[in-house]
Amino acid sequence: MTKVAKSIFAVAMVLTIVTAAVAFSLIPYGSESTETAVLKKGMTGSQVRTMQTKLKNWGYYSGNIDGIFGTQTYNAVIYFQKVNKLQVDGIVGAETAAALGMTLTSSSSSNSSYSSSDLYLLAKCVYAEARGEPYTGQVAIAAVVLNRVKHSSFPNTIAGVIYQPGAFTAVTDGQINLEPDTTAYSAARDALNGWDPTNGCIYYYNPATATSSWIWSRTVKLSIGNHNFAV
Amino acid sequence: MEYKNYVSEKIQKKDKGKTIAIIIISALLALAVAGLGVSGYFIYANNADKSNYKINLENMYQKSYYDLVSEITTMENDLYKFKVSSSKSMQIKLLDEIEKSAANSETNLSSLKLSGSTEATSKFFNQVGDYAKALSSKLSAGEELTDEEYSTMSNFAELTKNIGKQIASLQTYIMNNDFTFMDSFELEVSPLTEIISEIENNTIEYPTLIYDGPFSDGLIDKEAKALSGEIISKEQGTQIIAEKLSFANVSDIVFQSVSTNYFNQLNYTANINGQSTYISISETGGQFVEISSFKEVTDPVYTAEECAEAGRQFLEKMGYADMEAVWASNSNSVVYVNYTVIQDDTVIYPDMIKLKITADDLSVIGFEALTYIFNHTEREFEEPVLTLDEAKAKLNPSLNITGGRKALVPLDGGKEALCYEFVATLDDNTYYIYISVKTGEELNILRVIDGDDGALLM
Repeated sequence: MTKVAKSIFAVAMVLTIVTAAVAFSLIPYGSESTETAVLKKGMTGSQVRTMQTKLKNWGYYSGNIDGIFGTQTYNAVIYFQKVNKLQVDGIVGAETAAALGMTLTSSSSSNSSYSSSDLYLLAKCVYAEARGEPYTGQVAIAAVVLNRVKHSSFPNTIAGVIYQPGAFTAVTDGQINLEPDTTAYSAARDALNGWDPTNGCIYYYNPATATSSWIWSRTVKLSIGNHNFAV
Repeated sequence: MEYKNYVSEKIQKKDKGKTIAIIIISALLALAVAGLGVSGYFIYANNADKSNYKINLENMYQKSYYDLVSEITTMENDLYKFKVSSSKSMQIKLLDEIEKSAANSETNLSSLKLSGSTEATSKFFNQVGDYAKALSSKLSAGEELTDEEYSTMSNFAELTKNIGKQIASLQTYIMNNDFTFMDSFELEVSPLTEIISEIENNTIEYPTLIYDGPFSDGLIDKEAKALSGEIISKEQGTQIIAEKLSFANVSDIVFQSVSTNYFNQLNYTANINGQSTYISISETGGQFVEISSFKEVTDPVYTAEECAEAGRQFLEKMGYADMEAVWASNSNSVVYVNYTVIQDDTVIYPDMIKLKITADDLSVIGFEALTYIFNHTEREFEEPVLTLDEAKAKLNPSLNITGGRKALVPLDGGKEALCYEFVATLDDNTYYIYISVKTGEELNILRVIDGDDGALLM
């Protein structure tokens, strides 16, 4: 690894972007309030899986039981609500859930067994920055965060690195507040357990969208999916 | 007259019509005004909200800035005091304070909204703190500091003074111009950028630092001790993967890329047991560095111990004999197991390989050998000065001790030390305690964190 060169340009640590074409990431920040438990498009998890199983068993749904509330699942919910004379909104609230024979608990899209705040924060960063990337690309993002924690030129905690102003675009634009999916959790956990596909990289960027000329001066060591990883 | 009457009547009628029209218009106007007023209020309230957020945010940046200035001042004072101090206890106290204020400086610097890199400045604070900590442990262990170490500290004092002066000079701008951290971020060139880039490019200059700490420059060029042999081509790499993982039903091996960093790696994608998998091997010698894939496990069947045993057999088939599971943790029915080399009844923690095993069908979906590749080598062990029982006697007497064996453990700065490892419990907590076989000193204490569903496998 070469000595970290001194940077010249503005927006220095802006690493880039998320390309991730994720179908419905438009859950407003903080909307996952714990008061009313609902399942809606964009959510993932075991309760979505249960709901899909029920819809499938009754012939409303023909897609995969993958725990992802996507368009197909959404259409199935609409269909179910129409047939059962429920409010047709595509959202599984208390009434629709009762009609489905389910009880919703409030932590619908996250798994309560994730106790560690570091894991949660890292998973959020992975999801915000790299959902839609190949799995290894997601592990790589988490690894870059951890490499920065270990590196002398960056803050020394996971929160310090992730929330360093301007460091990650997904933090700047608020996508960091989206609820991570199980893939993001798994990628974060791999990185915390030592997996590092980047072999020590501390930068990454998307060559298709990176706007900072400074980032191009970094030595690229590896590319995975849409991201170049660099030191 | 008739005409007049007619006219006046008409006028009256007209007036009536007018009056109604006026009433309607004024009602509408009133409504409109009320509407404007209401929406105006909301716009106002919204703007007030926004400007409140802005003020709050700017206040946080300002706080970070003033904290930064005061931490640097403290650090500078302690560094200069260290220069003149002659007693060990005072020196240790000052070094600990320096470590603390250096860490706080870094934290405050990195929470400021700045346009431009602060990497050199961050590195300076991190290394000063880290270096002070290393010197403090040296003094605590009864050693003396060298002239070189004293002169490095005095160099740090000088640099800290200069950096502090430059950062404090921003205050003039804050007072005299309408400077805000939030606005300055939008500018290509702001007083802040100029000051920071001056510090980054011209002020901070000091020689490469090699010492026993995690931020030592000596760790930058790590040597991969386990790598030897020929440079392999990408075709040979495909061959190696097909052969070594044939027992795991590997197929569709496709070369992806060469990556370079500590050492060159060849990266492939492949299919293992129907799982799309990423595989990375070293260009030198074709050793496996990493295997990674994702699978969600919904119906676990096997225990962590059974997973660990399956993983051990997997490693054996790959050609890693003499490795034993030392730790397993279960996350949503995917079990992470750490294996280490056992040599002369000693657990070699630096030579570690990690596997990820699914608890539904015992398939290995992850492999990680970076630490193994960096550290694995044949080792000669020193003869212990203390026996196991003598080391045990040094432990805190209130502990309930359940194990004892020899272990080689990694230390800061890339060093290793031979220890006795004890597993101890107190109240509801489990600890791993490492006692040096040479000095009887406690080199490390690890605490098993609650809720981490890990388990020791001995």
